[in-house]
Amino acid sequence: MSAVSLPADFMVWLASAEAAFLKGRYVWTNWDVGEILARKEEISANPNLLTMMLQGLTTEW
Amino acid sequence: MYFHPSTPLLPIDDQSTPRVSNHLSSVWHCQNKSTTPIPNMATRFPPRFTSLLHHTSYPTISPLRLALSASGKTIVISGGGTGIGSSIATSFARAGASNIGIFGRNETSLVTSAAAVRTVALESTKVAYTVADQVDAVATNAAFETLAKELGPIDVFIANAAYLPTPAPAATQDPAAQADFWRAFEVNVKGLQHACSAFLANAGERPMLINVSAGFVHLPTAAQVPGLGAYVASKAAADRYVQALAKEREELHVVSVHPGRVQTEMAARRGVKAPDDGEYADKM
Repeated sequence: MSAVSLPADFMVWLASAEAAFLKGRYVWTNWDVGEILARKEEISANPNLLTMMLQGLTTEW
Repeated sequence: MYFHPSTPLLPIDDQSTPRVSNHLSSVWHCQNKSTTPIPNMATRFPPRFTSLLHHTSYPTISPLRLALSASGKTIVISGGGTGIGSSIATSFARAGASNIGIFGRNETSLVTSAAAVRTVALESTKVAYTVADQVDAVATNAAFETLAKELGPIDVFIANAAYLPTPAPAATQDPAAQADFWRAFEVNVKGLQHACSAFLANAGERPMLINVSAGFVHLPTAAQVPGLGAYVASKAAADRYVQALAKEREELHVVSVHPGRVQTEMAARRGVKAPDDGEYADKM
């Protein structure tokens, strides 16, 4: 279980300029923001990462 | 008010969440390979994108960090009277948001929540609440108009209100359970559409929608919990709905978030241990 402070503070980060690159993505509050930021380029380069879609398809948008 | 220079940028690992290995983190993303070992339940949750996991706030996401300042922003939160919604409002107040608006069905909760937000907000921050059930389109639109009139164009809408039905079999034929099934869709989908539409009609130039989702919507069948079909189905529909909005409104910044397993009153009343939150539990 998580303390309510986790989702509450995470939303502030999510609304900040630091998290602008997560537009259109799906994230969990449990994930470490430092590590998410470290993977910023990887996420931005892959439009399907952290989105809901059928796995195993080869076509990309 | 703000502290900045001494804030460590690297998070502190909280005691309750031991660091897990990269091997395990890769397991989750490779489960379609037949050779992948099946992790036990303790290592399955939460599904991880990062090796370090958190169960409480930490310095990197502290609202007092200068880089996270919400100064100049107008924030509106549905279901802001209780649970996670109320705490979100408080966090934005600590982040120095210029205007904070909350709405929900229960005025008593809203008054209490607004007062709590007021205690941590800057003197200059405006805090407002209005009573509205998002299932009611007219009332929801009026709520956003009232908040925008009082606070100005809305920059960020946090769609937090939700309804968690009493757990019931997905194939239930009990009329009350079937009505409850539909109630989830009324609040979590129809109500969301009402709220998002009203938000966009009263939004600033660069609107942001934070969709408080439920991780169940993208977890495999093996990870589902029996009895939550109505909730999960409605939250899945909600996620597709905000994706549709994102497609049509390029200027709209949409992001979905699983809030974590927080034991709120809504969940407690349903005896569910993996809840999200919303004020709709109040009177149900």
